[in-house]
Amino acid sequence: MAPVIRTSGLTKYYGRTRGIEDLTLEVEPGQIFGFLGPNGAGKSTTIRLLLDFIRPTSGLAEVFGIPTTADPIAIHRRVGYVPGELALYDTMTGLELVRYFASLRRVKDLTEARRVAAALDLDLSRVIRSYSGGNRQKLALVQAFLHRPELLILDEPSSGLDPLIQQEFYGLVDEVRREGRTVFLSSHILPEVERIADRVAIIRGGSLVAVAAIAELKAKAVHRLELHFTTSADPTTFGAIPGVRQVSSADEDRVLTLWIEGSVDAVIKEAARHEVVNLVSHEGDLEEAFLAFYAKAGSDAQ
Amino acid sequence: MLSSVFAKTIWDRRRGYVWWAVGMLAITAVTVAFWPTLQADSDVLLQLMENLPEGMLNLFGASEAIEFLTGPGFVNSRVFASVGSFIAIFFAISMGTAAVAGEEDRGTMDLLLANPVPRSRVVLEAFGAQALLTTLLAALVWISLLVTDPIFDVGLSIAGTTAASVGMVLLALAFGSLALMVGALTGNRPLTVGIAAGTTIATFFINGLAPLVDSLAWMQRLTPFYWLLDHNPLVNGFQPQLLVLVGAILIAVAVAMWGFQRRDVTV
Repeated sequence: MAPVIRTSGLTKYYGRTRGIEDLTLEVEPGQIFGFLGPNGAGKSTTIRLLLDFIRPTSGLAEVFGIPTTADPIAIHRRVGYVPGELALYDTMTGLELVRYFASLRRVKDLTEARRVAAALDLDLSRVIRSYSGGNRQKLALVQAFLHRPELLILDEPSSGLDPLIQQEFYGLVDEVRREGRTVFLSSHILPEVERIADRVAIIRGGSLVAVAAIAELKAKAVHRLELHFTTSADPTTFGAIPGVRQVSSADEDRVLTLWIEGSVDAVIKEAARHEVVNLVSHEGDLEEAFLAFYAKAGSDAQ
Repeated sequence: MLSSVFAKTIWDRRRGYVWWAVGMLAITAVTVAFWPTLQADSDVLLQLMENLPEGMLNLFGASEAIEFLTGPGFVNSRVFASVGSFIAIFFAISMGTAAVAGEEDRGTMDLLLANPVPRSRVVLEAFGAQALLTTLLAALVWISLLVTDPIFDVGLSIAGTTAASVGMVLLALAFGSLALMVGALTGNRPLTVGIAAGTTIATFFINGLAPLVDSLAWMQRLTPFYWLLDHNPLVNGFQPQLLVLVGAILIAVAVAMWGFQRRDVTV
């Protein structure tokens, strides 16, 4: 199937200031695609290029196979969008804003908007001026979902949401996944991307650092395993197992702590040769894999 | 109610518009009500005004002092050649600024444009709303002048009042569409207000004062005020010069549509 989003050598300079540089990526239909990077990395620039709010300095971006500068309206019809820098019409009520955007989209049925608002626990009858930051963010989500778009482009969608509502938001994204719709989601929060995305692109300083499946990243993630034995075990035997990065021992080698990249299988099999009192596993931390990517990109740059 | 950019632009004005209308009615009513008093003392006033420098008369829409001392001349100088038109102009500028530059200034343009609405339509519908509400302001002037004319014996004609009111709309839209255009080209709200208001003031004075200096007289023709006031529509009715204003407005709106389409939306 043709990709929903495809960019090729996409570059944007604001005068002499770099926005993004030579960004090439593809998002397949049905994917929940996380776009991860620190603030100022170029996430919003990329998203605003996809929606034709700004024009590329060079390179190409296509959404649904349509070049963004050729027919942005055809793209907008099928996309729901949550902006990164959120501003709303303060004098409207939530419902008035939903009605306005529904009219612009020629959507008569507000069932979906009301359903999402209910899921996020948002009172649409209140005037937007009185909304908290979290409520504004919820309203942004409601208007993005209201026409059940094939593609959701969400720029830092969960910022300002409290943890409970964040779970509701993740639930909405899971629904979208089940329905085979696509989500392109930018975030600087790693656990969030880890929780909801299938695939992640890491952007830094305007350039793509890595694109990988979350599962792939997790495989590269370093697990920490604590093994407690009744008798001493030889740390060097464990240190020699492929994938084991580091071993430390305590209590006369009766407690070994191992840092393992990828599968722990070989370590468990070696441990089984001893009498194991206890085994403590710390889940592979994507953050470490992420930082490893960053460290690599950093050293490459130097 | 909120069914289009056009409707929403009007909806945005639902509170503030009343005050523009009140201001417009007030200046019209005060002017007309003052006319009988002025007429009674016309000899004294005529003497006074003949001693004024020529430029002062020009500034307020009369080339001869005697023009002030006719009902239509007086109404023209107060309503169409100065205060009334200024109200209409600044209202149109505020709408022209809000349309694009104001929306970007508030940061809501991204959200609006994510809907399947072409940028050119955002510009066009905002101009439509500006034209409608400005026309309603002038219509208030038109109605109140024609209603009060027989009471205070001002001596206005329906044709003249209609022509001058339409002229007021065109004059206001000339500056309102300038604001729309600058906003669409730059997205910069303070700059837009500055250019549109500055141009209004500057061209008002150029129109009044340029004719006093022979070598600068041609500059008068660069001002929208000239194309409305020079032929005094309140007395003379519709004249083809008004088409110059129509042309200027159409060009400004077209440039606005083109300019907004081709640039980056500011954050």
